[in-house]
Amino acid sequence: MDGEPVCACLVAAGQVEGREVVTVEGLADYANQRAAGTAAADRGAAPGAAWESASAEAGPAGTSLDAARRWQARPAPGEQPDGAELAPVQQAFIDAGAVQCGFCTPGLLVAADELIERTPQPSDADIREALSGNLCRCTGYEKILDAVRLAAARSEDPSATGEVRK
Amino acid sequence: MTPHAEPRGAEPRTTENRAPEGAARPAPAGTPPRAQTAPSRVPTSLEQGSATRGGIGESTLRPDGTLKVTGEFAYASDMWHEDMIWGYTLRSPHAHAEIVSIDVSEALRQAGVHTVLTHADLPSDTTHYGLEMQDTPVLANDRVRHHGEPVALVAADHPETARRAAAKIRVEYAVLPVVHDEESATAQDAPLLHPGRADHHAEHVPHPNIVHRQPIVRGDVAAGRDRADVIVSGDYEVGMQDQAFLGPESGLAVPSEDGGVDLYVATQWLHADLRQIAPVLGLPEDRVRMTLSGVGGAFGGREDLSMQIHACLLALRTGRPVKIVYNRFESFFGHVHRHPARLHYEHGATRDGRLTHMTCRIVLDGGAYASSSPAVVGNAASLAAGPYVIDDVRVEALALYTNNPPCGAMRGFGAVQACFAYEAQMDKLAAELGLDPVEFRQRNAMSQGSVLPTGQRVDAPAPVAEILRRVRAMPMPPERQWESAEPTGGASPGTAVDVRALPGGLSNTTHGEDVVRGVGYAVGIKNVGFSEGFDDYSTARVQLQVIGGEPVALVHTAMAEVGQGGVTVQAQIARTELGVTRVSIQPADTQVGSAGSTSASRQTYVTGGAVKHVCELVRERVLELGRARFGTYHPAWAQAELLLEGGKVVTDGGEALASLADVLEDETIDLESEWRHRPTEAFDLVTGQGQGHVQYSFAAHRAVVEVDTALGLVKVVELACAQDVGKAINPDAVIGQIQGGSTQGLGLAVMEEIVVDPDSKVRNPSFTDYLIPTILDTPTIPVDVLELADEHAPYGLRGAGEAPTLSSTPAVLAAIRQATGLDLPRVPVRPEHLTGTDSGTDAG
Ligand code: FES
Repeated sequence: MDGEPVCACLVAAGQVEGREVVTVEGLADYANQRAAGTAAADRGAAPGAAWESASAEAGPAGTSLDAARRWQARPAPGEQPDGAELAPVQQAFIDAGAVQCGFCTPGLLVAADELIERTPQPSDADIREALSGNLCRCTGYEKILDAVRLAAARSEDPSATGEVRK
Repeated sequence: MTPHAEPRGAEPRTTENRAPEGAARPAPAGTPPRAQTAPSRVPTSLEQGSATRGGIGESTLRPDGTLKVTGEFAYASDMWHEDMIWGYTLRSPHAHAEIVSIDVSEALRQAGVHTVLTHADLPSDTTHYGLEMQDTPVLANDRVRHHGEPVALVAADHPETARRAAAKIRVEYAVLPVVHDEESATAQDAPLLHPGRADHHAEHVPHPNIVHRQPIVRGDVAAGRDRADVIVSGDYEVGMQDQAFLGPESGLAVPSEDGGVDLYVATQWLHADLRQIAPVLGLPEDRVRMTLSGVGGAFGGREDLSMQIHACLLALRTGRPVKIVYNRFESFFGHVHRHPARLHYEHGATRDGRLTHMTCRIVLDGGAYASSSPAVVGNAASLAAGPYVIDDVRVEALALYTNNPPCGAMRGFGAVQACFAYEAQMDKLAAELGLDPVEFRQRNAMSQGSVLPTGQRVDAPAPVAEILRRVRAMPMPPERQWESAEPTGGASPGTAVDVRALPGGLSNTTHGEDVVRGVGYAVGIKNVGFSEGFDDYSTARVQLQVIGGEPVALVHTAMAEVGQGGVTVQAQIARTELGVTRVSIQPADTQVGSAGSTSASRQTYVTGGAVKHVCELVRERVLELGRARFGTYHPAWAQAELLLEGGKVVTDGGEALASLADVLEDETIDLESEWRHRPTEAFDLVTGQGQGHVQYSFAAHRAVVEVDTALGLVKVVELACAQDVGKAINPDAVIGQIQGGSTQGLGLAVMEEIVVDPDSKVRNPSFTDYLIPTILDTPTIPVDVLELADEHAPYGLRGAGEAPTLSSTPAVLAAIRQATGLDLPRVPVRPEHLTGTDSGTDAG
């Protein structure tokens, strides 16, 4: 892969250690650019471009320090002012205690949400299979299973628990 | 207790935490019935003098939960500054080498590079750091001592630019022979890792490549041997485990106008970092201001410094904010690991199942730098006998200096290695005596009043026999559960076998042929808090004021929230003590006094104790104010027993005297104070006697495994745990700690190991090759929580985070041994150990 454009995630995962590679933030993005005939310049010559291009629409990548220091519990844009508009799976992760450090949480939420959409009443084996590509180092997964069961139960019958906020 | 100035920044990031409203959360509806994942002894109405919701004993929700499920929570790696640049660390490819020369000119010429730093550029005379001994160079000087040691730093306008520039630094190494085990490290002519040691352990160690050695001598081992009807001995080995937290080491250093630096970082102990960072920068501590940014797990791996000094050096040199984020590969080199160990044990017992004596020798590999090796040695030695009464004991524990990766703190801290070995011994003894292994343990279990080999009396409940009884009493998972599972999804066509429930899973390697079940038990003992005479304290600052007619408490400590839920607990304690509903948790920083480390299972005990203590001082001040304002109107104000509940001052009979809003008016009470646990003392260097520990924590596990004996594949079917936590301040969070700790123990049992070559190079620094348990590897973990109060601790609580990591590993091993009949003296167990196809090069 020397000299080849590769996804920056390979660098993050340590898979190209010691190689001379060119990173592209997301190969899909790269493919789009190549299709448009604009890509393939050595991005090392334009430092910053690779990491920032993918998120150009969303503003600078990451979170500004000032914003980070101001962060507090508040509803995200588009939410009700009372902050109640979390998706069932998000609320279930909080309620079940499936979040400790939370570093794994976004990935697990996406996988769990996809599972429930596909299989509204998943068995435990289904849940384990669907989440097997996501690591969590803090929880031992038990409360993550609880959270997915809870989200599935609430999605199926919102009146059953009186807790689903939709 | 001086009032504080406002913290820097007009809008500090606070986490607002309201008490839950309405009834307790209903249990998940429609979920399949499972074994007890809730404690079977949930606290009854013991809420200490408070009717305020969201206090201690309730499973309140995390104040940062919403931020974490919406992706808004700011981890250290999310930090950003408008004009920041990126730091990168060049690391040694050799485990031991002389640095002949370093040429940075080509790297400096690369476009986008701001600076390159080596040891020669360090700004002060202090060029080394370390938790206990300052033996670690900030950047390697004339010699590298382990694979991955930092040699040079680059700052550039893009991380990729920095990485490429670092590759252009020309370092000429002259490779040296390595020392990699006890034999090579303590040979007569062994190369010395640290010649000319001047540390306080140097004079009592038998060889300069031994960091610290702690013997324990109690009773008469020879007499014990004479009394023994059976004697068993064994050699055991524990591989090098990694904390493998998911949020990589990262931080952002911002130079300030006064020549100092503001550092935002993911760490376990801000003030210990500060103490090590400032001298290297040549700055007074008040010009290095640290703020905790979001931490993605720690488990001991953030106790030592990683990129902290490096980022500050680059920021001060360039005048620009500098961010450093390790990738996964670098993270494996960026923090210390759990000490690998070789252990030799001998136990004796009488026919009626009483232990007569124990001797052991525990050799821990500390790697190239000391880190917390001396304290790990102290723990391994003092807890080497386990939770058993043994009068005649001889222990020797030591840590080596080698060219292997440095090892230090990881959850369990020296007690994990010992527990693996002494629990294997208990099973061997029981088998030799023809006794049930649980009953044998119960006959020898310590209890309150027992004396440890250190001569210390256990002065709090020690329900070792009881947790063994409870874990055994839990219902067993059904036999052949792969057949009873619903044949959906992954079921093989045409059969009722769900291969997902079998060893090998969807690899479809067996339908039950050659699969044997085994059941194993283990129990362990872990100390809580810092030991051996360390002045272990924490600091809290609590404000109470009325905002919008409602009393609000603000709690500020330097406690590192690393995921464990310390912020939840702080809010619960403030509610209980102050009778308020609204609590704001201030971000942890060095503007408030030290909270000590988030380690040793100590934060709920010590920082929780500090918050409780300061809340009590605030309450006194409220009552003073109340007496001054209203004392003449109601005689009850003169009573001593007044409480704060539901936003009011009430008598112990429940009569409301005044609302907090009326008492406080526009006054803000603002107090800061330290709180410390009972003092401990050092262990005698010859006999190991001493009141070394402040509290003990006990957990027991039962593991049920299924082993495909043909392929050597293990499936842990269930891992049940019973643990005494004294008082569950937040029962759900306690269970989360127990399940997470148990899973890390399972990982050590069957998969987790940093593999180090005989030439001391790390072979598997990635999640492709260093395996941690996935949700498929992790079984149901039913938990039974016992709450026997320790009268010396706040609320009677007992540190809970580490004990479950101890007994989990030996319980899984005991179960695999029962299934296979094999000895299995080494963890992690790999398939080749079970099928007899092991080449034997690295197994014990
Ligand atoms: S909550 Fe920390 S990794 Fe999952």
